[in-house]
Amino acid sequence: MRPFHTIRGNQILLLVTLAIAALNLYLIYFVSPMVQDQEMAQKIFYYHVPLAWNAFFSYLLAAVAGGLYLAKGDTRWDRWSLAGAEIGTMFALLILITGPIWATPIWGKAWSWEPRLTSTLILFLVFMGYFMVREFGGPYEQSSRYAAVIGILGVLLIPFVVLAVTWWAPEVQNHPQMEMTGQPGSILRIFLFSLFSFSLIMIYLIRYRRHIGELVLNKMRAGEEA
Amino acid sequence: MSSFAVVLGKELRLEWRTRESLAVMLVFSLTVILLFALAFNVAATKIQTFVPGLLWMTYFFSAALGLLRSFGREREMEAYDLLLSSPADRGSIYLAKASAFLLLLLTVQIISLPLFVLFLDLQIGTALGPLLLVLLLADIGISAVGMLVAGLSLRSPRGETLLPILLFPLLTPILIAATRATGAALALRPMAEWDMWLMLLFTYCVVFTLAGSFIFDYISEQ
Repeated sequence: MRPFHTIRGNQILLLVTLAIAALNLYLIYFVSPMVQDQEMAQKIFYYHVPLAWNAFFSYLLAAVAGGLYLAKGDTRWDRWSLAGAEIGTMFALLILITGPIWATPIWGKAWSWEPRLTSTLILFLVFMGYFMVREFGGPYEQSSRYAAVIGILGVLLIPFVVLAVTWWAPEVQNHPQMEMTGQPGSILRIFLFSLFSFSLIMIYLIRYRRHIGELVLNKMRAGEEA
Repeated sequence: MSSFAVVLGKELRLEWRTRESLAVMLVFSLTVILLFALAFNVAATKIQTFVPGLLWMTYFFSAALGLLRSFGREREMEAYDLLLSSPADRGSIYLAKASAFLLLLLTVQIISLPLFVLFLDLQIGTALGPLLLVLLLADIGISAVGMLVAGLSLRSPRGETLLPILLFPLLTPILIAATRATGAALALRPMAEWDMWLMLLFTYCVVFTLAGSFIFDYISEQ
């Protein structure tokens, strides 16, 4: 297998991703308007919401690719599933970090069981189980199938967790649900640009992680044959 | 006779002959109630707020303990491989094992419920009917997900430690719905106010029982 960064397409993807991310940072800090009452704290919204999108799509990939792996038995799907699960968990962790960073100055409390953060935490724990199954689930053919099952169950769980956690404590504040159509155009445009930038980062990371996964698998198989 | 009935009969007969899981789960439930009572000083009237939570934490832990035993016999003398190599459909093996576990769980809970009433000073009265409905729905969900998780973790080298880590996050919607519904039922609130929890439990049961009977095939291959 050729090293990931010697492939022309990947080089271009990396350069474009970095350039867009740099431009995104500039737009967020120097161009987007300050929001009354929140000042700099509001800027985290340009990270936090795209991170949530990314985590959701990565986990969806983990489940769908896991299902295809179970159905077809092709290890390529398993590598996509693992990449989705790992990158999704990284984004979930970033959601769990950026949420409290915003809540500390605005609500005066880092963690107040906000429904979407609580749901993210539960999903994060389900995927911790996914990695433990990979690690301790026995030989590769078995543990990869088991992990795919956990990934599928985890994504099936999302609607139940979100509903249960939202109804669980109606007195707990939801963080502001941005009405996107009601936002001033300057905020909306920069937000959409940020969504685009973070999606590129996700695509790049998942592709890279999948590549590493293939390398690990090849090495494992070579070790078995030797 | 269908393979579902055969496997279900086998499970129940085995459990009835030894009553091993039943005894372990009952004694464990009693121990946990005792620990909770001592740790939270139940004499105080405030405890009533926590009673639904204590009840379900106890049921959850004893269910996990029962699940750890659920594939114990299959591991002995390669009985599980023989079961899988039989012409029985894997989906019906799963449904039969989950149903047997559901019956076990309900038995344990119905026997230990009077002890909760006694030790935690529960006022059940007319709440018994709604409470049994909550028990039934939550237990179906626990059995459906539990049997799947037990099936895959207990065939892993370190399954005993894996099982609770996989099981409890997947059961969080059940824990929330069951404690909320139990609290409302004990407070004798009209069911129309809290039937959304029953709907949630019911949908969870349907989705995960279906998923389990499809997926079980893939985790039982060698």
